[in-house]
Amino acid sequence: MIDIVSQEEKIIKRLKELESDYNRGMLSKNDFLRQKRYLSKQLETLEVADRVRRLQGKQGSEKSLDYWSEKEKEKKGTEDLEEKEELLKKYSTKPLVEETTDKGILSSRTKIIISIILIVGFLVGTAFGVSMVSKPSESPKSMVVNDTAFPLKNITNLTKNTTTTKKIYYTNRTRLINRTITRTSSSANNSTTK
Amino acid sequence: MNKLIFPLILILVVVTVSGCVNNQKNNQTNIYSQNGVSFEYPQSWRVANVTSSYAVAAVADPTTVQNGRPSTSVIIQKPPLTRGANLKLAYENNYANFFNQTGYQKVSEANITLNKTIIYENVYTINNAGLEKQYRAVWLSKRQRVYVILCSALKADFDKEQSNFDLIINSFRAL
Repeated sequence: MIDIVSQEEKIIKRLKELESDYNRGMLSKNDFLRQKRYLSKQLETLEVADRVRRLQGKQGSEKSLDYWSEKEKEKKGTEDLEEKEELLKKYSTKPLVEETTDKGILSSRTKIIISIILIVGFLVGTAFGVSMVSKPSESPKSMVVNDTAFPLKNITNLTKNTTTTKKIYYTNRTRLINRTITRTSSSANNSTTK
Repeated sequence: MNKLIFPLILILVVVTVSGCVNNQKNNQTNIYSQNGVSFEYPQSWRVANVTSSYAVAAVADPTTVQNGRPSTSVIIQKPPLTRGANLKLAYENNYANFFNQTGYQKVSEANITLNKTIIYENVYTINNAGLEKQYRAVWLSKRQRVYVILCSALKADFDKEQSNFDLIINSFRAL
């Protein structure tokens, strides 16, 4: 009898430690639930044994109603947690989670591949474009052209032949007149000197 | 991943091709537009300084430059016309004694009527100290002005430069 009570207390103490460990983050949720389930079953077994003893008229552990109601609450809480776990297992299965993570990895990889391809394409295109642009050749200042479509001499005569001829004629005529005048004057001078 | 291969290849092709596409015509020709004249000339050619009389523009192939003078060039000249003179008279007067000069030899002469406009063309060679150059002088009248497009190259290169000369002659405009 003493053993049952002490064992129950030990188990309850252990449960409390377990919860405190879990709250501190020292235990994973799975470990916590597994250990709690195990301890709860042990506790339940002890309680059943205690009830049987009491029914048989033997002295059982005298515990208040509050104790039993707390026990019930704990039990319900444990059951709720277990149900939640089961629901999680049902609706968020591992393969689904893996698939989503895989997709995430793929999308990042794809992004990297796309960006690399775009960069490579851009560089190839730019390099090709640059290679197509002709390099600036010799500066214009260094090139001097002096060819002409016109004769090298008497360029001004090309379209003014008539006028030029006339000028020459008049010039010659003037010279002739001048010469005549000079001669005449010189002869006159000669005659005067004579 | 397999579904993405086609779009990725498509993107690569589009990006690469867009980087390589260019306007062929723009890359092959430049436009000269100064001194009242406008014409297209080969993209590799450059504008040259010209010391000839009546010259308003000159372009030359810089790859043919020797001692600062290009052997392949095109000069645009605009001679003054006296009252009553016309393209035909100017042309005939010019070549009346032109080939009396030493080393000058006529190759061909032609006149073409294009859109009721007569264009005179004279092809000749000049042998100067063993260096023989061939010339193609195209005489035309635009806006009551006479223009002479003088194309020249070494005799050996003259035929292969015809496409470049034609480009300039055909695109020539008086502004």
